[in-house]
Amino acid sequence: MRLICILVTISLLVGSVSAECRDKNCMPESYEFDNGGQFTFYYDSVFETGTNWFLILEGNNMEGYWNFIFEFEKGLKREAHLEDRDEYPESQQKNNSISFPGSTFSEEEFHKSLFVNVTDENGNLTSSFVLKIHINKAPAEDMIYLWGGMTVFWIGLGSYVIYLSNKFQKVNGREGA
Amino acid sequence: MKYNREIGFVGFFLALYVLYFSLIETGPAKFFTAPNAQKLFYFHVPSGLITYLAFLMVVGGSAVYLYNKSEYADNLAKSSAELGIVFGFMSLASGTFWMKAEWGGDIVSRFLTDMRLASTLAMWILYVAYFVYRRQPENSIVKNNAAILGLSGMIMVPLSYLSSRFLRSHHPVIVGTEDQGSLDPSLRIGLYAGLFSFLLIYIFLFQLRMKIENLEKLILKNKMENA
Repeated sequence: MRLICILVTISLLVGSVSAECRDKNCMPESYEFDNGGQFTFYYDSVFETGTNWFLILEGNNMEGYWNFIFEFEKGLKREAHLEDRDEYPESQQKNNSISFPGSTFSEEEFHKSLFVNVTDENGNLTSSFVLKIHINKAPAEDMIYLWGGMTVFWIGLGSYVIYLSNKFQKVNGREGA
Repeated sequence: MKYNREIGFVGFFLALYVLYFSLIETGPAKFFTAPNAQKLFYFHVPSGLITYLAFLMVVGGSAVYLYNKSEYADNLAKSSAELGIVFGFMSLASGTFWMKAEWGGDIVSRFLTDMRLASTLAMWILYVAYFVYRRQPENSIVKNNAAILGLSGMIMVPLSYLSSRFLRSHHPVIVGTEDQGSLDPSLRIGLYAGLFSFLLIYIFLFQLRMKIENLEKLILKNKMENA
């Protein structure tokens, strides 16, 4: 009984905790390639619906201007660029990032293709590849209240039936005696 | 009652059907902040209405007992009060879960400021007091006092039921209003099935409780005669 009370109290008091990390150290996946420089994408292959999704671009030893187009499907794309002009030392690391809002997807889908096209400053396609992203739909926050409420009915009825059954056996025993 | 066991089975399986209907058959509800918790509606409303029925039976039984000292009426009031407490607990607790999901905020302040919640809780506590009072050895004074306490439901039940219509309350009102007709057919099916299943379960448990009460009194009577 005490355990049930504790569980009910926790379920009522617990709030939703969510955090969006925009640091590359939080990103479990990385993708590296050479294209007139060393480029790395840091990202999470799981896109949680309702939470903004980030991808960090990093360029090392690069030269010139590179444009990156990330496209899930037609019309659903983001662009970012990395550039290294003469006024900056060549070895300096360049960073940029893109994000898709958490509302981009509403349904679960695995192995969703994120098409990445890399172009130079003249718009010529220099590289192209696909990243596989899994869209995950987190359980709704109100589910815990649904299960809590539903449990109440069965606990209520079950407890009363047990109470009546014990009472009935006791009375029957006394009647027999 | 002859078919009491069958009534219990039908009520139980109908409740299982309502559970399936609410969780599987219907998707998350539209126009609700908490579309999943809304499924508590199919059990919350029926349990609330059965609570009113049970407490009205206590009022009726108490009134008849005070009028003609009928043992049957006293048993009826005592048995129905227990069931009212069980169904009232189910209604209040499930409502609290739903309220937390749909409205948010502090539960205690909701119960203190919303007249529907406050009056329903007060009604429930009153009958818990009635139940506790009846746990002592019975005599005519105890039965009389209990009947007077039971009669207070004459005020508490209508006060709770009508509070969301006439007093300050966020609690929605459906039964007996224009909204009842505009209920989505799926909501209506689930609501009526839930209501019918809980009514059958109530009848089953009530008959069982009455049987136990009669047996207890019979044993007591035999003991007194043998002594």
